Amino acid sequence: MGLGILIGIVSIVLIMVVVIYNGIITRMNAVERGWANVITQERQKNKMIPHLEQVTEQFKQHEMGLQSSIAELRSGLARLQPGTIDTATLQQVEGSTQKLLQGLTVAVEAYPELKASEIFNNLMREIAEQQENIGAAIRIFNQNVEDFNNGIEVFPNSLVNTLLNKKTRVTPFHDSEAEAGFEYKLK
Amino acid sequence: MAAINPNRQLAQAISRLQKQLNQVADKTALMAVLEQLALLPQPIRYSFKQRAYLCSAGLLLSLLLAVLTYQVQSSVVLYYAAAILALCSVVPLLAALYHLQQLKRFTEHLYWKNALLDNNLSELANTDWPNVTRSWQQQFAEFRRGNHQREFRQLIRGHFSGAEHQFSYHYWHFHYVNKRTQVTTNSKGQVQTRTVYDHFDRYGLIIPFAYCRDLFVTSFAADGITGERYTSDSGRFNKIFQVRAAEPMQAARFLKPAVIVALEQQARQLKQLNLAFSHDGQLCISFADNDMLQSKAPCGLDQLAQFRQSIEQPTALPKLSQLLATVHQLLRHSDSNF
Repeated sequence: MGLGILIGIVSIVLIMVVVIYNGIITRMNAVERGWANVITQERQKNKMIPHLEQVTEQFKQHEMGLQSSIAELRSGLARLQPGTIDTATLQQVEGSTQKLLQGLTVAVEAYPELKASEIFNNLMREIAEQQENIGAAIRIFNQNVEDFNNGIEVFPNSLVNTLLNKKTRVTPFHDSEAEAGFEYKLK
Repeated sequence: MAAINPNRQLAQAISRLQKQLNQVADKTALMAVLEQLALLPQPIRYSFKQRAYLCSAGLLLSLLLAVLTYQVQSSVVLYYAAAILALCSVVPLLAALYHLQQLKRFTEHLYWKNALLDNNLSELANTDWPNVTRSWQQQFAEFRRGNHQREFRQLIRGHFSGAEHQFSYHYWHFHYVNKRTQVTTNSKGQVQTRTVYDHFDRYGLIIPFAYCRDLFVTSFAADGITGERYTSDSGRFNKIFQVRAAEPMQAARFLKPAVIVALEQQARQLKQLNLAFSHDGQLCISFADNDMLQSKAPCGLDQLAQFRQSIEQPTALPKLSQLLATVHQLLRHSDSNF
């Protein structure tokens, strides 16, 4: 009787350990998949760059500034790798995109006829949708990171992770530029 | 000439205006109903105070009669007399309650009609329902729920104009009944069987959606949904929804990150949310919430000026507006900008 209870308890503990171990692996894979998705969405910008270059040629006054922003964005995109979770480079790429979009807005003010151009409007709509998708992909990545971090830090998962999985916390993506506008900051 | 009882006058006016309200098709006709309400003696409310006193007195008297009969002289005739007196006192009270309910229903209907008009919605006549719903029942498993009874209870047509897309849609209320046999064993070990009917209601929208076909995103799937399973990049989305598609590529193309986040947010607002894209390019969004078109009047008809003011203001249906904005977002992310 006593032995039966002991075997029962050990079996339950073993099943729990396997479930927690597999849960941590699944959540880590979700984080990696989320990151790969962010990179995929960022790289969609590569499709837009030739169209942007074509359009910016018309902004003679602003061409140099815009061309350098495009070059900066292109090199940033090349540095992003799906296998390595590198939120710092992602932050730089997002910064370059913002700089380029601001430059485009300023340039358009000087060329009002472009505001009425269908190609330009379609391009701006596509860029806006891409930015929306990148924002959403980052949000999904951060959600997956939060679930993963919770999954390795709460008890008894923390015990299983320390002994078996040995995974470390993943840093979520923070937009430092947006954060600069807030007085309250997370330490 | 004898003066008309104000309660009777109000009851007659309400049933006449109710008929008029059923025919209202635009805001001008709705305002005409309000104009007629303004001609009635104000404030618009029933006065049943006298009736309530008389009925309460009658009930007390019947109770007293019953008690005295029991204590002093046990007579069947007196018991009957007490019962008849009680009945005569209760019936006018029930009639008063009926009239109060009728006025409340009329007020709610009036405000609801106003909300429909303000949101470009119009009720479809029952005679038009079969033509509209026949193809839906063939296209969507949602309308094949229930093994005993299925029926549409409400169909409303609407139109949405967004920044990039505009579309017509139908709001529907579907009722279905599942029949099952329940076997129970009592304390004596006797087995008893009885038939149980479970009633359910589903609500939703049907929208033309040409950019996606044969895809199902479900949190409360109906039987008969087929296709290959697909999992998105979001762990939270995968916990809420199951995705099936004729081709996984179709699901991958549709479920862009912005779409996933929009659906996650929508699932927080609506219970048992499903999206089914048919082979014929129609989107059926279904859910269990019954308050999508609900709008509560800020006051009753007894404050007619304030009620009229609220009718003149645009009435918002926030849940519907949010769902339509989500559909617009889905369309924006599914179309091609070039």
